[in-house]
Amino acid sequence: MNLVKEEEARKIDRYIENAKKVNQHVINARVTAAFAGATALTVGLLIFIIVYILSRGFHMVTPAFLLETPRQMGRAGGIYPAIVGTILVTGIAVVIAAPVGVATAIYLTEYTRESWLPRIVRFGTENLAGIPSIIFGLFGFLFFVIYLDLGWSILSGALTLSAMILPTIVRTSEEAIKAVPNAYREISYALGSTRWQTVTGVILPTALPGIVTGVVLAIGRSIGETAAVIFTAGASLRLPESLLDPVRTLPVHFYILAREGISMDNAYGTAAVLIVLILIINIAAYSIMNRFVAKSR
Amino acid sequence: MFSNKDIKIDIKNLDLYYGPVHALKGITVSFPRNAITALIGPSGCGKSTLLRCLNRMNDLIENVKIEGMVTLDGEDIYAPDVDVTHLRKRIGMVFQRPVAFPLSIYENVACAARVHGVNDKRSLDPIVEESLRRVGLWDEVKDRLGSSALNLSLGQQQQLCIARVIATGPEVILLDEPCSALDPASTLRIEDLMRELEKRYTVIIVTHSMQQAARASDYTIFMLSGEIIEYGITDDVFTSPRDSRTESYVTGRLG
Repeated sequence: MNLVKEEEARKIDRYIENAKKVNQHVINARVTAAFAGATALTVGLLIFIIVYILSRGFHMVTPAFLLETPRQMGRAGGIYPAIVGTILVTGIAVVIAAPVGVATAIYLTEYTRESWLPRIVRFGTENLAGIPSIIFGLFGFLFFVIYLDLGWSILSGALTLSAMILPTIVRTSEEAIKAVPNAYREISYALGSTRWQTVTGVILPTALPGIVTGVVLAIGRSIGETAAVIFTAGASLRLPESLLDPVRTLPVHFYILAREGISMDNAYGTAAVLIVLILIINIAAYSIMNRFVAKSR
Repeated sequence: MFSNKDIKIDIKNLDLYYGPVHALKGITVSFPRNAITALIGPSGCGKSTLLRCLNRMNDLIENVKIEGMVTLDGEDIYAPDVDVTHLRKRIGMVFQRPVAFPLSIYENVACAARVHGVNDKRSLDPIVEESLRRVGLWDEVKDRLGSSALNLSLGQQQQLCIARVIATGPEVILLDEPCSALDPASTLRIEDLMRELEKRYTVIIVTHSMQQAARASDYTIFMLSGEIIEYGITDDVFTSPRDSRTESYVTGRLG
């Protein structure tokens, strides 16, 4: 009697086991396919956009296009002032925002204990990061251009962009610093390090790749920014002579050429230059970082 | 049990609270110079907490209140004018998991000396060599000092961690379950090393292994629920414990 029951129970077990196996394999295969598909879509879209823009614009990119000033509102001539303007506005914005942002992140993670202060700052930066860039443009126009009387200028544009990218840099740096194993901190303090020695000797070198990624993201965001810049840096086509001169950045130039129907060829040429510029900056940032990391190891 | 001259660290009426939790209760004990003292007891008995009082690592934790007196060579280490970084240079600590920094073998040891202001290579080289020699790692790594410390075995990494502590020039070395992540062969190696270390340093080890305490220590402290139940020469504690709770623990009936 008992024996028969056991036999049956074993049969049922085996049946369930097999059913499970089959199901799991099917689910596994389908999910793998779905994830691979999503990845293919992402990569495909990216490649399509880049190839499309480069194919429409790359033939426009000649040495003259890169090194001449525009003529006839940009219908003819090059985009040299816009390249200079883009690099200056973005460069100054990052030079201001990166140290302030990283210092804020260090203070929040290493110098304060988890309490209301870091929570409020974190909440604030998260909200700030979600504000549309045109609002930053409006703020920059009212505060830097008019109230501080900096006018439409490289400086106004850079300050506005630095305010815009600051939250991103704080958040990404904070995450990178938090990801440093706590054991590293303990060891460092147990060896008799001060907080400053721990930050510079252990925390920052370990968190550097994450921090650099955040800064590169911020560069990408500000180099491609149109709305915040058009209100604050202006749209001048002349080569700037000082930081208080107005300037037209590449995305703004592209926007005006395309929107006003001035020259689609030159617009796509500008877009191609912008994409290549972003690529160069990203590669440069990561190779500098890798060299630094390799040196410290 | 000891004359004053032989005592390196002396604890009197130490109480420690984590918020409302009374984690150490009226601890009074002394650690003799140039000897190995083992702290044993079941998980959560406060042995690691007590160890961390000695180099003030508990300062880093929120809501910790410490009362009582801890002296190192007769000086109160909780006095307001004590430089904690200097205290931690004198009392080094090795942790449970061997954590080497993602740096070269050389840098892992040199960084400890740098913390205390040694910066030029001519002074660092002999410190690194001597520290690695004292943990018995020098001959194995002298030809690859520049390669990553993460390639060492776990046991070697723990030796490296001890070398890193030695490079600061400590007087006391605290070991917080240093072998719990290691295989038996590496464990024996660390225990042999402790015997070498006690000639120069005062060694205090927290261990959950009674065999380790019996094998590798001169004195043993048995703790239970934040109190010291028994303290004495290791052989006595293990062979003729005075307290019945100690007896149940060392014979494996408790904890």
